[in-house]
Amino acid sequence: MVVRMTTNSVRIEDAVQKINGGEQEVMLDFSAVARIDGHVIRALEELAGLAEERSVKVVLHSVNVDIYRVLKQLKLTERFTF
Amino acid sequence: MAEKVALSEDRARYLDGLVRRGRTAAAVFTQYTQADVDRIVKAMVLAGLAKAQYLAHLAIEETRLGVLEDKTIKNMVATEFVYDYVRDKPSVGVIREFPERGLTEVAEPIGLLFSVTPITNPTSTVLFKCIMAIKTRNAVIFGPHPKAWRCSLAAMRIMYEAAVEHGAPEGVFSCVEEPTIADNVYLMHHKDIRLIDATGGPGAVNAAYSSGKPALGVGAGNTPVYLEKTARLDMAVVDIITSKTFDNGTICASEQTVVIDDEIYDAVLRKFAELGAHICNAKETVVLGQMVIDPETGSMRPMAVGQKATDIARACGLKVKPETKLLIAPIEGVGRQHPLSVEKLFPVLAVYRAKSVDEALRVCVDVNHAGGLGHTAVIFSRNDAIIGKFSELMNAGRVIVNSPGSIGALGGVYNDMVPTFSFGCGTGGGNSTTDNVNLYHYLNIKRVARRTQAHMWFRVPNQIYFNFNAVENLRHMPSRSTVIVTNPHLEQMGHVDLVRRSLAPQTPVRVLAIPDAEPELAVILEGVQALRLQQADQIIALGGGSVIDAAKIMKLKYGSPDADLMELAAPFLDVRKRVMRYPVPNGQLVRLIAVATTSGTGSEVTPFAVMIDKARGRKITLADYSLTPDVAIVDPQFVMSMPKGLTADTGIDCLTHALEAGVSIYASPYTDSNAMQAIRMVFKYLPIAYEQPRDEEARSMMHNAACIAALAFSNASVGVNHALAHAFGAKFGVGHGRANALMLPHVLAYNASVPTKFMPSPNQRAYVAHKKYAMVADLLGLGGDTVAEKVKNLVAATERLLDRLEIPRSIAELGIPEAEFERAIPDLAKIAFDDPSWRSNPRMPMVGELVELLWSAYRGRGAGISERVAEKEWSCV
Repeated sequence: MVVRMTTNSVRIEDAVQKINGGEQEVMLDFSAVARIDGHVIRALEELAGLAEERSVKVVLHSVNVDIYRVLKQLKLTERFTF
Repeated sequence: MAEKVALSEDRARYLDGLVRRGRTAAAVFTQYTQADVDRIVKAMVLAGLAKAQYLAHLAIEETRLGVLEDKTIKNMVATEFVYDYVRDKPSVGVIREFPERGLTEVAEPIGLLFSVTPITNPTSTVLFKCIMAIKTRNAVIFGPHPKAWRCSLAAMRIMYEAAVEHGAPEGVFSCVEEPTIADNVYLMHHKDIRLIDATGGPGAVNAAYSSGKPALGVGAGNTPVYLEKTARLDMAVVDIITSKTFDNGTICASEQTVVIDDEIYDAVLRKFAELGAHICNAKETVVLGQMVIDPETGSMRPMAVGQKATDIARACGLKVKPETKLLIAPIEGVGRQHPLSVEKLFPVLAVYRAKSVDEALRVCVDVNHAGGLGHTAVIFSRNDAIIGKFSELMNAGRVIVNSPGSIGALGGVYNDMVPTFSFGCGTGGGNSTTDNVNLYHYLNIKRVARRTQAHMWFRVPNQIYFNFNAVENLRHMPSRSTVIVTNPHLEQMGHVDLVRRSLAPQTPVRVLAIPDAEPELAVILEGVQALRLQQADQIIALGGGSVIDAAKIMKLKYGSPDADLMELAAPFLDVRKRVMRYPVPNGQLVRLIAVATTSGTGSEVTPFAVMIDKARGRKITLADYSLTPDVAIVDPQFVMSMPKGLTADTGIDCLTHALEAGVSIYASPYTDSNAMQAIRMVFKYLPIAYEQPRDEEARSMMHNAACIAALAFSNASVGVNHALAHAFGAKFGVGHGRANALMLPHVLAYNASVPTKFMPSPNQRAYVAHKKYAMVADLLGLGGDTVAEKVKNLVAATERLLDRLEIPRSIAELGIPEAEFERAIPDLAKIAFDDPSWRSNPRMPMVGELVELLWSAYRGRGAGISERVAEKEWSCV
């Protein structure tokens, strides 16, 4: 999965690999992410779907409030832990 | 209500996909800054301008409507002119600030919009809406007219590519391809569409409003034009031709029926003809009407929309010159019998010959109501009165004066209206706005309202003279005619003579002795008559509260004979916002000097006056700073012989004024200083004045204390103690000061405890009544370590003072049977609650609490007090 982000230190594909590797909890660090775009949103939607399928808890760490509001509008906040 | 039309699963999936992309784009867009947005908008505008002619070609090719050159111009207006309007306007974050009002407006994007666009202006409308959407960080799905979707899609793509290239979120625009009505209905009801922006025919607009979603629906018009005889005819004719032929008349604001004054009618038609219009004869008018208007529906036939005049003439079998721009059809009325009186989005113009201004305006109203409500009206005139009347009569979001209707309504070319391609038609047209739709309609605007402080004041008489012989200052107040208002008792005591002797020599004086009671309306009116007879320029009110109040009202009626006292007594919550304004005197100017003969009411410096209207059986309280006497004389020689009982009662009235002003929600440092000083003086000097009535110092200090307390409550008002005392005193005939005294300890404890309800008060930053009382206790040296202790000590000190003044300590002691009191209590509580006095009380009294307070006062001596004060440990320190 190619993830293109405006400012991105989050490696969503790494998270996907960890889930596929059997981890029960995965954390994504958003501390260096100032803004997200549609690609990241789609990747997060897919990640949420995969995590739900495998009953894995995904924690989004240090999400800034602007990004949090984007996720809220798209009803993604309820699919992750913050 | 629009009916849902079944869609295939594939089609629904396709539309859902558009929504999903748009919704994501809208969410992403919320992160963008003003700089991001402005950069993208500029790139889009340049791209649109570059393709203006190309898009016009596409539109003509697909719709077969309009004129290439004009459509090109429209595309340029939709980009360049619109950009000129939006370029410097903030649309992200803070968009407007009003620091003096503490208000900030913050822009919030709406989200995903569904935008219906028309066949008549397909590309320009899309360009316009794309720019508005990006400027406001919204995403849009376009639902173009089915016969204009390709050119609309092309316009959208040009905008989209420029936008995304410069950083806009992917999916920010999309366009329904091969659209159907079913698609529109589906999208209008889609849960993720936040706003419908429908520009088009009544069907689309009605469907938008029926969807239950927020909608901007702007649609059809039928523009009346009044060509009035004072107009510049050459300009008017050129403007009308320019407008009506622009893009072959497809702009819905274009002129439909021109109503021409009889005097200029022939000249106007000649000018139209000279400039390329064909004037139809009666037979041609009939044929034209039958051909271009559907007799079944009364609406224009699609075959004529956006076509050239010559093509329409040919289709109708009319012989016209090849250079004919416009077909002009004289009509004799408006309605179904006159088919050409309706909207015609093609270069056919109806004209009507009006015999008078009234007839012209009436016909314009008829046209306006024949399908054009809320849209646009045009007038050519140099008569401002007629322009004004026309503007009043037309139900139109835009009244265009001395300029072309269509281009004028678009805004920014012939006038300073906001450039738009979407005309709000108000409720007349079933729309939610009469505005030219613009960026502000694409925003949720949040108002951030900071707490403000209400303006406060400290208003007092111009001059206050005090101490013994202060009355001698009257000598320096020249008067051509003075009336002394007093009562017979004071006259007998020689006080009037003392005043007379103090006046400047040879001052003509008339004495008006009125009964020693709350003044009646009849007494006031007699007094006004006397003032008129004497042509008085000075009133000296010599007496207690009743006399001074009477003189205040006499002055009011003397200066403003038409003042309606009943109206002026209307209740109000905030003096600054009251409904009834007091009149500025238009009659005789007169100086009011108040010489107080009691030490309690402080009426000599207050803006209040009470009177009785016996005929209506009611008490009237007037309150306005214009009632404040111009001069107050606080001379203790007038109170040296006050009886003991009156000394006690008026003294406690004064104390109540000061204590209530001190904790009022309108208390200020200005009023506090007066209130605190008055309290200190009362506690020290009232017992002496009571016990040693000839003690000059005590009398003088009490006289001053009454005035000083009044300065405080004139500006901070009183509280619940007065409300209860007014109700109870009036019912059982108990004097005002005594009624206040009976309530006072109970109200102190009440205000010092945790309020059931706080009074809304922007000037108070916390509940401070108990702390203010503690401050009073400190000032009086009453001791106590905590606020609660200090409050208790103040209550106890007040009770000791009342005892020392031999004031009964319970209502029961007055001899009022408990059963009678119990029967009266519900009414008393209601009357007290209606009393304006408590509106400045620190805690809002509940009716049940008023009942409780009345019972406490009935039983007296600490009933309910200790519990309340004990409760108030809540925020003592």
